[in-house]
Amino acid sequence: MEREVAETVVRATREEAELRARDDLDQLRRQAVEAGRERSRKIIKITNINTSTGGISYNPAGRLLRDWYLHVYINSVRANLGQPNEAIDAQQVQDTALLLERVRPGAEPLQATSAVDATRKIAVADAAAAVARIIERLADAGAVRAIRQAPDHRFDSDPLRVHVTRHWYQRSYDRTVEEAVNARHAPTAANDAEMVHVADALVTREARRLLGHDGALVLPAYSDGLRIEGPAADAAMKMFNHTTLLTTSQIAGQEDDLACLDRGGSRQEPAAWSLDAPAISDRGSDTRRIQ
Amino acid sequence: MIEADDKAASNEREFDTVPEHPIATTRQRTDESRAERNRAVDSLRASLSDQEILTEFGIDLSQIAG
Repeated sequence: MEREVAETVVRATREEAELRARDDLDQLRRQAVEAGRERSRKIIKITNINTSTGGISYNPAGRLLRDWYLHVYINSVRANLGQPNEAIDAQQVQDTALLLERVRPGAEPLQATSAVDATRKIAVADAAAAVARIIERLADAGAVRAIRQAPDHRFDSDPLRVHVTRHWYQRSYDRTVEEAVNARHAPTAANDAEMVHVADALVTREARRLLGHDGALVLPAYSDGLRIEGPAADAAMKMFNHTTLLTTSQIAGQEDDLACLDRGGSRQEPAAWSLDAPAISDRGSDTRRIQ
Repeated sequence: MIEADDKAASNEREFDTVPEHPIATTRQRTDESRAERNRAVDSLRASLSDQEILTEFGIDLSQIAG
């Protein structure tokens, strides 16, 4: 392989991976927002139904707090994904508490403030859970997309070039995701030296360690001593300090899940977005059913 | 060659700290925010029963996990 061709492959692979990662993040964020809407209806009721009398009454406090929950949830999801968002500050909490006091004049001011604060923190916790789900799903998606990017027959079926390209794709994809969640120890942006290193591997068909165990780049002066022997799939994995082989058999069964992202559909059931775990003990009991 | 090997070994030792994966980071954030949420719910419960919270404010705490 000519060096110019190798450098083009490396650059194009990185750009495709970064683009896909951003699209996938956006797609899952939209799904997470819908899950949040569903969740708001479940945890904050706006109608009281008295099962004894059959009477139904509207609860404006529930409407206000449901809107407040969604406002906090959506902006927290966006903040956790490094997307533009409106910061939830103390003034907003205070303003919402004042509104709540107006619609619930019987409630003590401290209780209204406490209800607003609790709703806010429920939303923040749910948003954090949603983002954790997104990141878990993208960890799988990145691997599948990497294999699709470099199928076994690519590069005249040269296994080292195929596997180095896959891991390079995965590294570029993961880096975009990590930067989005502001993960600590996130790798630095791809630089020219890194791309030259990967292009070298494609040209020479030799894998040399690119990353240390902490994800930091190995200095070029040291990498000559870090030539990796062994099967191509294994050598490429070690080159990028990854922990999972990227083989075709690995993606069996994951294609449907990925198709959901590709189509922009919502194959995932709301339950799959379960933003919470087992319920805490219900301390109250009443004949009223509330929706 | 020996020098190169030494450099390589030294380089390997230099990077013996395993980085925190984004999955671990986001799970940790989830745990921390849930703990904060539980404290806020406890604070609300200090003055109202779950049923009163539901009736007054519409918040159904039976749907909130601990």
